[in-house]
Amino acid sequence: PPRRRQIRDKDPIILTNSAANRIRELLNGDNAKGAIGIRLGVKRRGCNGLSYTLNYAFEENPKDLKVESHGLNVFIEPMALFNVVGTTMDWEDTEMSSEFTFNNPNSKGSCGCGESFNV
Amino acid sequence: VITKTKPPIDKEGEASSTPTKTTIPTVTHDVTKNISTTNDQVQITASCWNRIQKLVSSKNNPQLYLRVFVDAGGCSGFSYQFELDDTALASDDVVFTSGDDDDNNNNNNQYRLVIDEASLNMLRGSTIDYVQEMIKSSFQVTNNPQSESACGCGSSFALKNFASNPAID
Repeated sequence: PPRRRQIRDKDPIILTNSAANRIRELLNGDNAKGAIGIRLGVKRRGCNGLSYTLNYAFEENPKDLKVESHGLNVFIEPMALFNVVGTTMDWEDTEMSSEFTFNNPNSKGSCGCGESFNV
Repeated sequence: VITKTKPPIDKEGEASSTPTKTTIPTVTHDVTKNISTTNDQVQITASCWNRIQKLVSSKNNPQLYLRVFVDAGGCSGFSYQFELDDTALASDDVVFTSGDDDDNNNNNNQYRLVIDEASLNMLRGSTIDYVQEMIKSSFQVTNNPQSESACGCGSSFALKNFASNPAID
């Protein structure tokens, strides 16, 4: 069906160079032994509805969407895919905090700190 | 959104309830006199000291300290703010040093965390931590007994007994 293809053709998530470098760094860490990539999800939390979750992926889940970018595997949980399509994932490193930020075109509003959002 | 300006420095009358306050009468005060060894006011984790050490030593400026203060803002009314600062300390500043920590007794490398008295009134009893997670690493204030409710991310909070809190004029 053509509608589905359109969504597939669109890059579900875009990694910036700094995000890719940080993920590579994380995957080289001790906690990541055996990890094949990272898994991005969302959960219901925060004052604006949804917040992002990030975990090591140790195995492929057939329901996840696998995105290959910068030579890295990012697995997107089905629940998250609907909410994050088109999002740019960046890593911002400042003195007071270092964090992954998500620039989400679907987001209608977000929390003051940017941790939670709604779609 | 509550828009309340930063609470003014509390008055003389409240000094009795905070015996740990160090008052420096002269304008040109000695910074070392201001160092307070009151560990019971806030807990500062080793991870927090490590991060301060890392930041200060990377800047090549031994005068730097981490200033923690409470500001109006955020979705819950007040928000915690963290800043690297090297300006002279004010008379209402309370200084915590890394030497106060029993497991970090290195006097050659003392690092400082500074909280002004008004902010300290809203932070008393809480823990200042540098939390490292996969998705985010940041300075955080946790377990604040003065906080009635907090934002999901913990960067802002609502004050308990808002009207009667001594930190609010």
